[in-house]
Amino acid sequence: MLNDELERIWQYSTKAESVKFNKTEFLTDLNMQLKRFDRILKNRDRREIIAAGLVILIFGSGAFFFTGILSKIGMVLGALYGVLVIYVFKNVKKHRPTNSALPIKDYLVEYRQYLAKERNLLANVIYWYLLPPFIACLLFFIGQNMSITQLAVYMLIIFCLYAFIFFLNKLGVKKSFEPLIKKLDDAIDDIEKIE
Amino acid sequence: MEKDIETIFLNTVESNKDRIFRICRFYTADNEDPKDLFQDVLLNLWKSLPSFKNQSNIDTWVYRITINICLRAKQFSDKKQKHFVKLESINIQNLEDTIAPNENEKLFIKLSESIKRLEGIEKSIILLHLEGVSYKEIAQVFGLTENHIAVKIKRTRSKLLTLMKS
Repeated sequence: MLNDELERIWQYSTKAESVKFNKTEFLTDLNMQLKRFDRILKNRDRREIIAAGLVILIFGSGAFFFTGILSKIGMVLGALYGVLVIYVFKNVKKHRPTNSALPIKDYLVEYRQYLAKERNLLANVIYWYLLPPFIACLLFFIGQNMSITQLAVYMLIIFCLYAFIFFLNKLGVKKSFEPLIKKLDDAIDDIEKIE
Repeated sequence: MEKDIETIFLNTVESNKDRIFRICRFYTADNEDPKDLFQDVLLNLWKSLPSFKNQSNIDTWVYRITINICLRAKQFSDKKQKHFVKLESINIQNLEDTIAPNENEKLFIKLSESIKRLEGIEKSIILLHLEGVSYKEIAQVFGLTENHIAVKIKRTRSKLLTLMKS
């Protein structure tokens, strides 16, 4: 087969399908979709802020109502944890690539960096998501003068729950993020090989 | 000003829509509808147009966004899609029925299957090349030099021909 035959064969595809659209409806449609996405994002942000606000409110009022210095410290830590979580989520979202008009390599590199940040977040979930409320709970329970058995049962329940969350996140890193990052690395490598 | 942007956008889409759709088709898995990806590209074009600077040709800019969105969609094809864009005003007209199956059609199917077997970047470059995009423009889309693109196209064409013969 001759090289220039490829173009001739390709021409067939130009006769196979055609895209039609009504210009006025099309613009209205696009603007509606943009508004819809905007609404989805705003609602998600709102939900996150409300959830963090509730954590702060519950722990903050707990610090006020509960007696015992350790319990109070635990409650204050819990409230600070709410602030930390919202900060971490907002910070990682800032790095999401939004400029899809970048040259392909730059876009892929930017996307890879963003995914790496998300992956690291999940991989380190123990430090920023699990450990602070665990310590807060531990201090709170100690401050409540519980018996050793009671304390051990409560902490064991919390530990099991956290272990479950920890392994879910580890699984997410392994099953979702690692393969995605690998695919992006391969694509970036492909481009670098051309250079 | 808004009217200007709308006019530029509609003209750009009008002159590139079939081309964008054909590219999207090659980045869509067999069980997915290329229209979904196509609509996602259009939405991104519309969203990005206000920030378009006349530093490059608008068609080059369109190809960049198309390829970036297609590559991103491919990376995420294993994960469930978050929110599908549904544009009711878009209609894909199938003209195949009006054309009697012939040798060209068979060859085109073979070519399509071979292109689908190419890796991401090779696929993007050959698709733009077959669409008649110049080496210079393809180089701008990828942020590479024309020479690099020329070499890559030559190699990919040979690979494609071998795949078609096999």
